[in-house]
Amino acid sequence: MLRLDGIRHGFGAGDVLGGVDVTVHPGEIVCLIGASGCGKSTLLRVAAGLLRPDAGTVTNRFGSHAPVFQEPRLLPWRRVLDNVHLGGDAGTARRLLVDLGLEDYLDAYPAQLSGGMQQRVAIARAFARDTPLLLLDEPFGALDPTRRGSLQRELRHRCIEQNRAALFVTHDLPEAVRLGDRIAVLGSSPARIVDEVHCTAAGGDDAAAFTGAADLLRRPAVHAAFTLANEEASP
Amino acid sequence: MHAGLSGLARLPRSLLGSAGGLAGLCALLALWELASARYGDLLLPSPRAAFGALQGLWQSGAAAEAALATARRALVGFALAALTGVTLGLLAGRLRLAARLCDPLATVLLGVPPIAWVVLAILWFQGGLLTPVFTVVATTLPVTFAAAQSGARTVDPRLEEMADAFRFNAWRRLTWLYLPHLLSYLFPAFITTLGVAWKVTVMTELLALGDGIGAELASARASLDTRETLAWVCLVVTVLLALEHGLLRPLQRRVEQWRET
Repeated sequence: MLRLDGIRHGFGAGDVLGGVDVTVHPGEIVCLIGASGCGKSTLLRVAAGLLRPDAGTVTNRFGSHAPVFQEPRLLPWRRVLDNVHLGGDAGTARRLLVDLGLEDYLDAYPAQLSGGMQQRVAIARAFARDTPLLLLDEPFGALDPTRRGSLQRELRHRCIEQNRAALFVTHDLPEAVRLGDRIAVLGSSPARIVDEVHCTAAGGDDAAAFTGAADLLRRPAVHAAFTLANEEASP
Repeated sequence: MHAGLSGLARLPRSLLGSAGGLAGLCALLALWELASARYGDLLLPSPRAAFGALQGLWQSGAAAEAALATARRALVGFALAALTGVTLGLLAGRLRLAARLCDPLATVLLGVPPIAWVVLAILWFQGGLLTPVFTVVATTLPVTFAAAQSGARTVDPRLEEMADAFRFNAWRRLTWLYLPHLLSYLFPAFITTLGVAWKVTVMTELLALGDGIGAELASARASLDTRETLAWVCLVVTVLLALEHGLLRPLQRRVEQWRET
């Protein structure tokens, strides 16, 4: 179980995170949604132990975790296969890459791959770690919708199959509906959880995702979190 | 297959490049020939005479013997300076305290003229292997240090965070993250310092040692033998070019293969 308790953090003027509580249970996919720039990535870095919060506690009973960042962050001088095993088990890495349709690129350098393929490598890199928890920071943000859909399905399928928990940060409502067992909504300035929804549409088709997203937006707290942020962004 | 195709595409350009280099070299030889004709064989022997002398030295075995002695000294010094410079530069690039300690030292080392190091080394080490090695280290260390330091300061913080998140240990961090990034800074520095090492060794030999190309140059000068002097100079240049283009640059292309894709 991963438990974030009353996380506060600020950079200079004012708090970005104003007391955030999130829990991720074993095998559960939690989507953390919020408008762009509301502090989702900061919260994820706190969860990953990469950033020490000003206040609050992080309890990680999963022991270890593997991250997927917004950008692929592959080592440009290492071949794809090396980038996935990172000195660990090459057999697992190879299998994962084959499963993700990258069998022709095991010996390629990252620069030879398209952005979408690089992000697939980054996902393989996370799955190659033997960890019960994945932390994902808008990993599909830069991809076109078709690739997005297939990678979302792939991700959810793998998490369920291998009983891995995931904390998935996104600003895309349909994406959250497709992926999450539970959706936590982060309001902004300062960020705290304003709503939490158990989701039943996860793994469904596009229509279900869009209906689910529309239902979410009808909830006052979610509506406020998204529209207020947009108004602030364009005065 | 991709590599093969792009290799083929590069071929005409590299041929053109070598052709240009050759043309420049021929122009230099022609100038030399002209100057030799103008000032006479005593002051400036013709290229043919110099190469003839070099061929003689080669056949007697003197050239190879001297070149090996010089190369050993230069390379030992070069390697020591490279190792120390990279280590210190890496530390100074990562730790503020190390930078505070090392930066002024590097500036002082850079400010001292090589000939002063030669004199000091002669006084301190009385002409053993340490004399040229010390001189080479003192003159090349600050260059390698500065290159490694700026390399260490420009490591992509996002890749560092990735290394943190995937719990790279110190060794993996060094060999998978820092060194590959550093190499693009280090190779140009190595090419410079190898040249400096080579020339400084010859200078030290000329002033203090009994063998090596520098010592041979000194004896050719003592007997006013311009032909042989030029022959030794040609050898110095040839070996340096061979080291750079036969060793360092191919090595650089090999380790930076990922850039070409």
